[in-house]
Amino acid sequence: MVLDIRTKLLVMLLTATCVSLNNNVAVEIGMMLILSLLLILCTKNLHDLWLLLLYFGFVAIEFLVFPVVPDTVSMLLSMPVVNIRGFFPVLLCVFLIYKTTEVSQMMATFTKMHIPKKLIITLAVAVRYIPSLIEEWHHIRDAMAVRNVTGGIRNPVRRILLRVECYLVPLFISMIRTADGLSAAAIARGIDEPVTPTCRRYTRLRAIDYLMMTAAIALTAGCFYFTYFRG
Amino acid sequence: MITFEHVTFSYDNAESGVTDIDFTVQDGECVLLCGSSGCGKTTLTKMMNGLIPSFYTGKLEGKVSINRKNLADMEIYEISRMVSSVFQNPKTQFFNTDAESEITFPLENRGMDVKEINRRLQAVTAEFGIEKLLSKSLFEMSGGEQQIIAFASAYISDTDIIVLDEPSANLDAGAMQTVRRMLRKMKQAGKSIIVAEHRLAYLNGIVDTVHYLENGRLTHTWKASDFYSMQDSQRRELSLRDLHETAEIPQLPDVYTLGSANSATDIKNALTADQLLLKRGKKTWDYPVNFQFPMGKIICVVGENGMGKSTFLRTLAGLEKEQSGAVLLDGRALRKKQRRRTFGMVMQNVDHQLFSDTVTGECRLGNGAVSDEQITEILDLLQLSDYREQHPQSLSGGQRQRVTIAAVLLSGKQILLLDEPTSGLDYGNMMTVSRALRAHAANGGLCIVVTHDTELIRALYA
Repeated sequence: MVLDIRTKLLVMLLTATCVSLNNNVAVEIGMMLILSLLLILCTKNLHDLWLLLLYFGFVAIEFLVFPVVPDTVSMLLSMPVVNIRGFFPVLLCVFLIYKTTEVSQMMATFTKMHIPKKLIITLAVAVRYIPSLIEEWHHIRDAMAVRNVTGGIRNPVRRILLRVECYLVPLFISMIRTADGLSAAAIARGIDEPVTPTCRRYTRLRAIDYLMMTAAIALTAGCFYFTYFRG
Repeated sequence: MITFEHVTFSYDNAESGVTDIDFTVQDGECVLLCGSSGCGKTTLTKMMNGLIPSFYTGKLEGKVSINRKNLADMEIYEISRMVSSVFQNPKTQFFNTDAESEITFPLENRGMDVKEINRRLQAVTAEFGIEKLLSKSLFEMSGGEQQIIAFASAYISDTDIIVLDEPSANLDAGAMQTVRRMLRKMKQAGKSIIVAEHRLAYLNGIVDTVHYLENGRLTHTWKASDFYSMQDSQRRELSLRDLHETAEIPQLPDVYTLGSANSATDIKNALTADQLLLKRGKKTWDYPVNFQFPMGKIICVVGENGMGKSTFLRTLAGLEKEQSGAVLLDGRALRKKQRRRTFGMVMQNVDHQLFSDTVTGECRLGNGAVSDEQITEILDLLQLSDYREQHPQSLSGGQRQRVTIAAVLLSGKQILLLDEPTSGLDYGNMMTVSRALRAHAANGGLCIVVTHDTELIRALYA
């Protein structure tokens, strides 16, 4: 299934609305299941379900582990397990957009929507940069693994600090270099042209988009009703 | 026609620039800019596509013009309609994630009609024979494939001038032949081509004129025929890489072709592999690796593309787990984690391997016991003494490469693994690295070097 970026953005916006309204676990689980189904229909890759599995892990901790551990432990753990878990539906939407949207499509659609060019370019660079960032991270991890940077240091706090520093220094340097290179290349290839760029990858909204948008609005209305009149 | 008239430029951050540059590129001419690292050749390419002085600011004197129009009076986007660019690092020149949009990016920016864009895309795809490549994500492509897309994008722009900044950096021998083919095509189409390069042999037969820069000044100009018939001694004096195709790997006893049988006899004082089968992620290789490398040697590992040379080195280093088989030191099998501790490694991209804020700090990192004398000795050997207190990331590519080698030499590890340590280096830097590795082997260490660089292989065993 192929969805337009506008549909995906609307789904994300409505999901965020539901998340902020909702305080019922059953509704939350429902949202996760529906969004995960949408994700798999779009990416056709079952590996993308890791976010859902992680979510269920958190749910299991809350309901199976919290009742049997001391209160202090459950209080300490409730921050990641309960609070962050609540944002998982939104995270899933971000993941869906990132996995299924090409930079060119995004730029074409936003240009048609008359979003300012500067904002579009900033967004495009941000999306474009995520895969590079992951790649950089892997390279640095490998380089650290063969270098034993903490050799000769006993103090555990200093060891941790040094490791953090050793991750961040090359990461920042490469971020700056990549951003610089990306901008230079884009400018030299005419991104600053004062004309409206051609939107070669622009497509109109299709029936499936309207269907999805309607479904998303209906579900949000349902969530609204459940919270204020039933819950 | 491009004209440089007494052009002098210095960067704002005091990085070296160029001085009194004066030359002309005729229509349809192919010009090679060469010289050792930091000589100013990249600066000249940035002037031609307008990035200097608008994007990279500094003090500019003199005049750079195209068809008599002064570039200083133009916006970069105006220049981009006359000049296309291909940059050194394919990773940072891509704006899109899909190949088609990347190729058509300059045309879309100009607001060209969709039909015309599609027509041109079809023509370029057919001409370059890249139909299959278009369905791949740019992030799944090899460096060579990415560079093909960059060339196609420059070609589709239909500008008369194409400027290339080290397009072959980070490419293997096979991909370089592709680059050569594409340059030939551009030349046949009557484009003016300006290419800044370290690797020179593959450009033989394409370039018409060669300019040599030294410390930002243009000191020599040759016709291509004179340049490529230069005496070897003069070539080395100018710190230039090999001028002639030497794809053939020298047949020497210490050159190990990956996958060839190299049977183990005496396992004392040696690194051996016994029926080692490689894998990386989901990819597996089904030929067994067997070797015996005695200490006190330099072993160059060669092999065709796709044989898994980098994976081989990563497996030895303990970054990948083998499918089966064993790596043994002195006859004792080493597990993945033990190998990480025992072997030192220099990877291809040096930027991820520098962590400290000074060169000496980098040398000490992970090995507090190393003495000042040892550091001085190694830095002297690698000609880095003048940069002791500088930030490693502020150094040039060749210098950073040498800092990582200095750090690994000082790590106290006897067995060093190096992945293409000289791919972006000029002749002088390459020789310096070669001397350092030879010194390590002479002290009883073992260096295992994966390389395509035939000139390095000859230097290591000369």
